[in-house]
Amino acid sequence: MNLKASNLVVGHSPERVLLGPLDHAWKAGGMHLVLGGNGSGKSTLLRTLVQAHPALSGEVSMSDGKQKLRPKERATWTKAIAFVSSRPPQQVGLTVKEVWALSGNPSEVEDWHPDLMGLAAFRLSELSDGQAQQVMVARAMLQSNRWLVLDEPTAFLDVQAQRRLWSMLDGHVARGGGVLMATHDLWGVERWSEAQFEATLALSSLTMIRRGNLRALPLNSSKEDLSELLA
Amino acid sequence: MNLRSPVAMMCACAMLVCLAFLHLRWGEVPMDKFDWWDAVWGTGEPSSIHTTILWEVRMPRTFTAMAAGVLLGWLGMLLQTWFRNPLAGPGVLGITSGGSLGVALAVLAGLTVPTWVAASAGCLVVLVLIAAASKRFVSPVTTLVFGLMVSYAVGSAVTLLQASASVESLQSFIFWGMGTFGKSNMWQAGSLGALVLVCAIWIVRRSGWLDTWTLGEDMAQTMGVTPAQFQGELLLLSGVVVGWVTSLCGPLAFLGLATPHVHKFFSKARSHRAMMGGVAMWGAVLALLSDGVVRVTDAGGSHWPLNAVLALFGAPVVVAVLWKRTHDWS
Repeated sequence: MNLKASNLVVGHSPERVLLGPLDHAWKAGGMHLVLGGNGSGKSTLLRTLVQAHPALSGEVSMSDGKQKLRPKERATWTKAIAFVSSRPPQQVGLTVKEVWALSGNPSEVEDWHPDLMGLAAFRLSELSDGQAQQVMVARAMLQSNRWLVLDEPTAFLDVQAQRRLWSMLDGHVARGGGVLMATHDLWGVERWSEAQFEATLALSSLTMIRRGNLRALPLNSSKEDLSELLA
Repeated sequence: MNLRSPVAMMCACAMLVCLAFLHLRWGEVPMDKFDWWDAVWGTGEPSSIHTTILWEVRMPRTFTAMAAGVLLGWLGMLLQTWFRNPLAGPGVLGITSGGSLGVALAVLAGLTVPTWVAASAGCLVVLVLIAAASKRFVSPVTTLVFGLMVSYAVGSAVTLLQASASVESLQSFIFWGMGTFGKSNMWQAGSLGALVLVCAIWIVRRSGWLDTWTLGEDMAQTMGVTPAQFQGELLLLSGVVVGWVTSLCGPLAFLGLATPHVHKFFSKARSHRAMMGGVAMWGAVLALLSDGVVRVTDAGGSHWPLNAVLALFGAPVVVAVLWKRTHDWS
């Protein structure tokens, strides 16, 4: 299902509008990146899309032409879109397995990332940020096989953990899911736009936040162009 | 570690049975075992002094202590989850002081409402304040300090009421403030039992939401929890429970805050469904233990107030928590 923002105004209060009014649709499936500098409102946009933050006005919906899904239908909505924040939750006493069980059947993780199963019996608070972040991505994948919305998920990760996380997202996209990710990590952008990837895995859309609005960018933007735009 | 929790659970269970038995068996009025047995089964003379003592003094007191222990233990667990704060509890956040103010208004200022309604209303008002404030404060410590300020403010209001109260009402209020399990009858003990049942059903029903809430309010919201409904239910439940317990037993300190930590010390599981049994057990054990001390000192003539005993137990637990977990609050 396409993820759609209609007349969406994002911000903390009417006096502090960050973005909008936005009209934008992210097409179902594929890897979608939202770029923007610090403080541009990337995080708040994503949090508004997943209903973790109230929209100032306008609405978010999902549709596939025939059917329209609204956040109000909570049970169906949360099965179609899941969120991973930039920092994994802290001081959580539940075990990894219990965390997964909140969103689905933990044994499914085995297929996506066998290494993670070794952590199943640990408490989330016993893991490093990098491990915990992978656990949270796996949890989001259990919750939704459609949209995964990630807010700079690699910000705190070392190279190894980043690679693992990318490969999980690869898998999600390959199974037909959609990923919407905010980032200022141009290496990540480049990785997804590199030609050596299979067509299904390549970047599906690139949008950038500039002057309170969202703007679609050509997929083949070079890193130099992007860093210029981000500056 | 894997063996620790079942063994601890069995010990707690055995302690609970022994303590309950001692509480029923032992008292200031001596009974030989045959009289006691007859009183338990009602096979002796009807309305003998032993039957009266057992059924109207020891039974209600024991059951009140157990039920109040269970309820406050669970409430401590729920508040610690709700505010994601290991040092939250009905006493610390000023919720019981809200109840005290309610009772003070009823007893000292002669407000014509039942004390439990006044106490519940007081608790609810403070809870609403804390819930609103905790949204604004990022740090859990700030919420605690806020709760502390609320209890100071409420405490001063109570003091002002005391200053203008009559001697008799003042005396009964002060005794109530020391806390006791010994003032309720069998019906009131039964009502606490009913509350235990309501609480248990709610916790089991909402265990998924409670577990999800530990990941953070934002995460919980994106995972299908409706925060307004969840917090509304929690608010109502905690208000009524603390209000009712406070009006019957006085503003009990530490029991709610310390019980979940005593359980966590012995057990590894952190999901709410897995914790509720152990927390209930330890709550009842701690309540009976403290009341045991109160009853022994009563018999000895030194009359230690329940709240003083609870603080003697509870304060070291809190210090131990602070000491042990500077990083990991789970």
